[in-house]
Amino acid sequence: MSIYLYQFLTGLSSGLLYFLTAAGMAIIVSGLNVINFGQGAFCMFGTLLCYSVYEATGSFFLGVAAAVVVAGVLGGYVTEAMLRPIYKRPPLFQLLLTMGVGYLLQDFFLFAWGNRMISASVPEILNFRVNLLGLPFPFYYIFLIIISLIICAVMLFVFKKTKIGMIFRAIITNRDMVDCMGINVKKMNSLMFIVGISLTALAGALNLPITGTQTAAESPVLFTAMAVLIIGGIGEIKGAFIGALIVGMCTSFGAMFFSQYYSLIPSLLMVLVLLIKPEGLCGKKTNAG
Amino acid sequence: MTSKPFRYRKDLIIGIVIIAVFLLLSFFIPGTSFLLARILIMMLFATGVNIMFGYGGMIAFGNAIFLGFGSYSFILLLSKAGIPYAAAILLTLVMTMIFSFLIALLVLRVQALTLGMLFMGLNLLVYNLGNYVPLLGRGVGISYASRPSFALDDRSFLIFTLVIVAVCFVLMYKILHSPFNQIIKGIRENEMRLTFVGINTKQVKRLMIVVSGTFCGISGVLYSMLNSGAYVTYLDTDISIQGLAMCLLGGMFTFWGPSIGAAVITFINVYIGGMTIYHRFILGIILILVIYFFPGGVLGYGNEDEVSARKFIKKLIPSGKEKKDE
Repeated sequence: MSIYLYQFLTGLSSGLLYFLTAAGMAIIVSGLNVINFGQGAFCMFGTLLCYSVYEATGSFFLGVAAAVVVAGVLGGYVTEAMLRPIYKRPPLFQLLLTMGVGYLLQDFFLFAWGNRMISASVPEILNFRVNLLGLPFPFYYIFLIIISLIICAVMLFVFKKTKIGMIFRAIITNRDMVDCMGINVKKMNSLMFIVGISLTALAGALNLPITGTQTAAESPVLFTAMAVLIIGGIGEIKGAFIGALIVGMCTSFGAMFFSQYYSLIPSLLMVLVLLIKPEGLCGKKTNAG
Repeated sequence: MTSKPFRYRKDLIIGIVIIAVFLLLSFFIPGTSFLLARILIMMLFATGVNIMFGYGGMIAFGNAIFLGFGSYSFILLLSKAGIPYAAAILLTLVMTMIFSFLIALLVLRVQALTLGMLFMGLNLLVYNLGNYVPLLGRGVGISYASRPSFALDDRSFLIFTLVIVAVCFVLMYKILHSPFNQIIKGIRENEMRLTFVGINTKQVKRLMIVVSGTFCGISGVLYSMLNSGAYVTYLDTDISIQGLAMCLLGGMFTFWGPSIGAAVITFINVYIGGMTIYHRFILGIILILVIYFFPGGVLGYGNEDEVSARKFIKKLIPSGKEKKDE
């Protein structure tokens, strides 16, 4: 029995990490109407930055903070300097631009960090085990669950209760109208991009002690996040949450039963969901495009 | 579409010139046949992608599926099933058509941006299958000397490829300049209005994916002949993205554009890709430069089609939320 609880908690924590990435992507997709194909690279950027800062200073939390801030700044630069001049162009070009940026970043990582596996041990403070039904369970996973749930709650609060969240929601519903109300939509776009990128970088940084990353390989995160988004319905943060949990659970339990094929699970789930409900589990029919 | 016969003649001349250039290069510069054959195959692939992407207006993020399917099924039919050579080619063609029809059924359940993402997801699924399924060689692939018996060395294989690719190009040209093309263009410009006229647009789109997939499958068969085997890199999403980049670079609203893009990108891949491990960097730079400086591609610059074409992409992915009102 306890092994199932163990897998459940692992699935929950990895699902919540997927949620952070997918939520970042969902914000960007719904706000800017661009699928950010560079998301995987930014996630890897978070991992690598956290690793370097952790190595240099010995403080994991400083590393996480640095990853979030620096990746956010880079994301802001990408929107302001590269994406902004082509807002007038068709969205396909913006999408391909993010893809190009992702490629550039990826090879930059390969150049700067070398072709190797990057991972680190769990920081001392969090490196102990909790007894759950007689089985020692690493506390780090519980820490991940707590952190992700806190961020989720904060995001919900900001989205539903504050003024800036209101503007975000308004942009998602009708961008032109918000522009007419005298709000600088382009600035808001950049802000949304920064938030999305920071969330992703945070997920990457938190992932460092678990799986780490391989600089040469393309980050599998992007595809998992895409699967999560499609499962939940594009541009829906609630959908991203549900989709991420489903994918996390299925991957975790899948790794237990068919360990060989478990990396197929996100894409299989995606195809299944599309067969049943093409607009995603939480998507609205009219918004399927 | 002014004075059709002249257009046909112009494109015929271009085709003949391309064939002549390839033959001359392979005869006067020894050792280039392999590269030239690869370029030809990629030209076929890119034009196949463009049927779906530039003409059909769908975001083709996963055409490597078709390329990989063609090559894998051809090699498997030859090596595991032991079917005679010509029959294997024909059977592969039929199978690719059926396969692309199934993919089309699946992909067309959603639209625009989601279609692209779903297509890429499928591509990843197939890539993972290629990585794990024992029948497909578990990430290594299957090596099998599969060139036709009369074209074993590089130069005669180049000529063989040239013939096949030329036939395919003529077919594609015929398809893309038939009345069918008017429907395609109509869908690209305004899908809803075509449904008013009474055209089943979904069926047309399905047909486009089948056509595109079939030609990509043929290029896959040729590619597996060239490299003597089907390898898992054929299924990589990198190939799909490169196909898109070729279309973009050359001009996705022109017939010859993707070929130019294919030639340039394959050349870069072979020459610069052999020198460094940073091949993605080059692809990224190309993408960014094209987006900023040649949004219509090299050939599409100032093309009459370009203006309407830009409008169409805007329709493809609506920038506002006006879709809700529909």
